[in-house]
Amino acid sequence: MKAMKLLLPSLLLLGLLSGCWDTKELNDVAFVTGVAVEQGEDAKFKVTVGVANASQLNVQKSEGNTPSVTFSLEGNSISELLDKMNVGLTRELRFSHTRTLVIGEEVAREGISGFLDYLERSGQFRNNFTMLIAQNISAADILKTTFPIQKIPSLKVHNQSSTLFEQWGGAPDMKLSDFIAALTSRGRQPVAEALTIVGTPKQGQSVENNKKLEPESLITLVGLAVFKEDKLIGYLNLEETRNYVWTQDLIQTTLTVPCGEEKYIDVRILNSKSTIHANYDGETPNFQVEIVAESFLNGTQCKDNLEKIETYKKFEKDIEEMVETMILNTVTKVQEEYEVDIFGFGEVMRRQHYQRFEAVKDQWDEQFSKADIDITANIFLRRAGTSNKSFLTEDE
Amino acid sequence: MGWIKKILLSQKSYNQDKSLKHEQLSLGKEAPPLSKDLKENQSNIEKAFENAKDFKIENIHVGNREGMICYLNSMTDTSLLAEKIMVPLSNSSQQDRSITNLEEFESYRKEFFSGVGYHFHDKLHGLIDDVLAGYAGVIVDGQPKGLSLHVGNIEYRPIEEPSTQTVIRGPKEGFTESMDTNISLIRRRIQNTSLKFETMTVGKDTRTSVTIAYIDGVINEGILDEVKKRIKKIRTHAIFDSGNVEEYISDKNMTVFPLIYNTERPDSAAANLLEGKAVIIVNGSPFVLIAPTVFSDFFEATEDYYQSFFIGSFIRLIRYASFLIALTLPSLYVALTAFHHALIPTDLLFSLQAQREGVPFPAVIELLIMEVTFEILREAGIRMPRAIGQTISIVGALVIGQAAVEAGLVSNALVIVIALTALATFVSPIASFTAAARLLRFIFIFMAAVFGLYGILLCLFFMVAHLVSLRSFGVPYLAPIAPFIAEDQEDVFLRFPFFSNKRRPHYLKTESPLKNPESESPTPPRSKKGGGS
Repeated sequence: MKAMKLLLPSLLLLGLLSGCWDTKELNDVAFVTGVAVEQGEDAKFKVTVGVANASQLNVQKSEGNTPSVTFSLEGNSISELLDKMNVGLTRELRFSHTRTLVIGEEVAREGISGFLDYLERSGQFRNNFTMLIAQNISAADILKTTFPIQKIPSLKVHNQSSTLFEQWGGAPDMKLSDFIAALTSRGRQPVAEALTIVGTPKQGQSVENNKKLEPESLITLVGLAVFKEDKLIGYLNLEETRNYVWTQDLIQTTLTVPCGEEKYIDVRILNSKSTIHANYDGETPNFQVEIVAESFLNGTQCKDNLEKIETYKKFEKDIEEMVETMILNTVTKVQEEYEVDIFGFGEVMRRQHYQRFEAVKDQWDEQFSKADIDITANIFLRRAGTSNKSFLTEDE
Repeated sequence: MGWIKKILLSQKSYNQDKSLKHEQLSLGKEAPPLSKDLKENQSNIEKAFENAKDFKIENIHVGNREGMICYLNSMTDTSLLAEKIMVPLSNSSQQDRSITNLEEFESYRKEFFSGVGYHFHDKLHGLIDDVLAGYAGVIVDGQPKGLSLHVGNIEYRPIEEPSTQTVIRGPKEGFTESMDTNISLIRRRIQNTSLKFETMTVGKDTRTSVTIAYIDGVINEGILDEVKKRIKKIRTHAIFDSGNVEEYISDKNMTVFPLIYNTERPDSAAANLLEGKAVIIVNGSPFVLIAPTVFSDFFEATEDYYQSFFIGSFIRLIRYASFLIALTLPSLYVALTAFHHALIPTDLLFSLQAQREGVPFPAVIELLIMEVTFEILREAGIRMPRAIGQTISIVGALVIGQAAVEAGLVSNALVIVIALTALATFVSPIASFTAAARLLRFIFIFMAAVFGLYGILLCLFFMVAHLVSLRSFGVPYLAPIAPFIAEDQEDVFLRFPFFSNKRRPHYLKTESPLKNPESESPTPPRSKKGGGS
């Protein structure tokens, strides 16, 4: 009985610890899947939200109506606009399943740190959604362009970019938290993914678009947006994006390597690992990027005999050469054209030569642009698919 | 709130008011000792059995003396009575035997009633007790002692397959209502002199036999004494089922968890006896009690030991998982759909949201409607006459299933939640244990509706605190998990093969801790050089 007398009040006290009084039934809230921020006409921002219309995603309940509804408001703070959305929408908005944040080009060029703070501070958002820059188009259009398979545009884009990253490395794996980490780091500048719409955006804004075999308009990924601090300064194309990802954490990719006159071999790269060694050569920083990767031969257009070890050795050499020049070109381009260290070489320098980095950390981007970069690739060609000698190979 | 106080006070006054005396039923206790006078004895017995239609009394000759025989024809086998007693009594060779003293009475019994269970009584109530239990009482004029002869052989339900704890592989016999049959079923499985049965009589008015079975030299003496002591201490007027005994001898009644195991399976009882536990058989109940009991016992089925230990272990893990499902799945549904939308995978979330469109109630009300419907259905299924069973299952399937969804009362996903919970509830082999999950589930749902996942965590926290506080005959209920006993893990979550399961549970503190020290893993014969012998 004495134990009960102690237990009961403590149980009641535990109830006070609860932070979750905000019970909301599923049919009383609307889930925002994507947010687009662009320059407003009358105010600083124009914010568009894409809200999922769940019943149209359900096979049994679907009536062929739109899977997602968008609504835009203009104002000077994102936070206020998001809470004011019920000007046009019915239910309380929830942002826990927001997967994309599309930022208009003009806003990005002016700087985005102002509203990133709100997104990071608010407990409503997860910080693992994709950061996207809408190139040449209105950011809101991204949330309005349907696709037949993944019906909600923002989820489609999210899925698209993560699959491209995993399969080919053509998209940076840059979530909100990574972006902010890069922003605050002295030794790295942030990047974001760039996308655009192919076709006429207006045509894509209807479910009718899903009935065509070739959609009238389609969201496509175009590469990388390069930032200096929080301002957009330029883009890299898809190939260069892949090369950028290769210096970071490439999962897998496919290369087309020349093996003769107008002839190529297709190589699948797997298990790639890149290590960076930083050093100071007098006043010039230098970096050795060492790439070790395994590869499979997917196909060949050359006649080289794949039963012979020499062929593999030759191919390995070709691949290595190509990888080295390719990546070096991209790094050089960033050094010369943008002069920002998006590769995080500064962070490596900070880890490996802390004192030297501390001395130059405020001018790191200048240091980066004059740095010597050396790329060494070490590629192992492991297998050649299910057959060895190609039918192209002539018997000797 | 006055009426609550009134009820509580009235309960209290029963306990305090000593002037309220229980009117004890006349069970022969007040009857006088046997007198030498046959007529007096006869009238006393007839008075005791007044208005008992099944009571028969006959005047007979025993040897050369006057005598009487009395029995209850409801408790005796008349053909046995005729064969074993009436035929010898009418034998002409006995007519001139003289019975003048006890020795002659005894030798008379040896000669004519040999092989029949008997007692000599010098008190009338002893004789009456025996008559009530199915004996025939014989009194001879001039003899101070009465003889009771066992001719009881009452019709009982035959041994059938148990209706609970069914197995695919393993013995199909189940206990019956007859205690003698039940003792025999255990004895058939353990043919060993160390197997002991001790009988007591419990229940002032019903005088029910309760037998404690144990293996001498295995069971912990302290536990055995405690079992006996608690049964002796039972002060009640009636025992009809082992459930009554269970409630009296449990360590604690204010818990939803059963502290004593019950089984209908003789093989389970026998196996538990050999582990060092006591088995309590109550006359009239096909469920025997096993004590002490720990939490993990309720996740074990005899079949685990009759099939490969791989499948036995796997199924046991499934049972633990099902217990958790039965306990928490509905509350998790409430917590996730009403509080923690962020924890649901996006695609599932949209699917759930689409299903909930147009459902008029909050998730918790929706859930309670279905839970209560299911409990009603379940109760109806057990109670209703067999003949209309079909009707209920059809109606029930309609109510619980698609009809409720189509009517817009509940969402599709909820029906799955309820169905899975219901299935998981029935996985534990012991019905009294599933009751714990059924009751606690409602507390979980309530807490989830108020506090979300935090509430579920609180409930689990208090449940575990409660579980560790429980004891069954002094053995911690959560043993060997808490307190953790490493050597007993061989038969808790997994069923280890027999060759590695050599010890009896440590927490039972048995008198002989090893059960099969010589068991070995089977190995193929090694071929010797030059071929086998």
